[in-house]
Amino acid sequence: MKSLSILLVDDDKIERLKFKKACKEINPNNMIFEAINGEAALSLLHQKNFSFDLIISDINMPRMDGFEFLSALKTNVKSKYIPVVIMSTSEHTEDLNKCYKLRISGYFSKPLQYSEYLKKVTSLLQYWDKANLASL
Amino acid sequence: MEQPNLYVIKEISGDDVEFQNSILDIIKIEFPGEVTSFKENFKAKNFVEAANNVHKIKHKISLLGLQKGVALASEFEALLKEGNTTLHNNFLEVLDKIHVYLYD
Repeated sequence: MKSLSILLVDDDKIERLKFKKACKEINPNNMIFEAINGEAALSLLHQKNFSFDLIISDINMPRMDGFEFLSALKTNVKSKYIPVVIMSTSEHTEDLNKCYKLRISGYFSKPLQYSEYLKKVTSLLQYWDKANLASL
Repeated sequence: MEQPNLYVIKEISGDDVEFQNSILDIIKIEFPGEVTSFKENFKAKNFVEAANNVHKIKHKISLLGLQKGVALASEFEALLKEGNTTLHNNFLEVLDKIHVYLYD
């Protein structure tokens, strides 16, 4: 699997640590960029002169939550085609519908057990690795 | 009665003691502020905000291996959003248990 450049948007420090650990276990060359909310993520997207392979975002975040972030992202020409996967503990149908209306590429419910979490992150990265190869 | 433990954190950390300590340090630093914020919002009857605080704290309850505590926090979070405070004291008991484990 080739290395991926991933932007992780999550206000929870431990979740960011856990995700980085899982990504590095899957492929040490994966590059993980972090933002603590939607606002910081947009700022990072505007600063950087290259695109991300994938954006992983939480929903519940201060200042700019996942929904506001998605809305802003999808109206920007530079970022609208970057796939976004929501990673959340929320399993409310209302939240899910709202996310899909904002054209997310996937929804990832965080399992409590790390072994299950690692399996899910592995499947997710493998899928997007294949999708990126197919689009080349 | 279930007690806080390191089972979940150890599962995430594997043999990486440094990683395990990083998680514990973050919990120790963030937990008091999150609890204060919850208590202030609850006292001011800002129940939706208090429910958001419970949501954040719930993650730490889960990391400390309190499965029943997580279930209680989830129920309390949902009830609080509707202004129902019946599980308040039960939730405080979980918080106290964690406080004793982390700082005593």
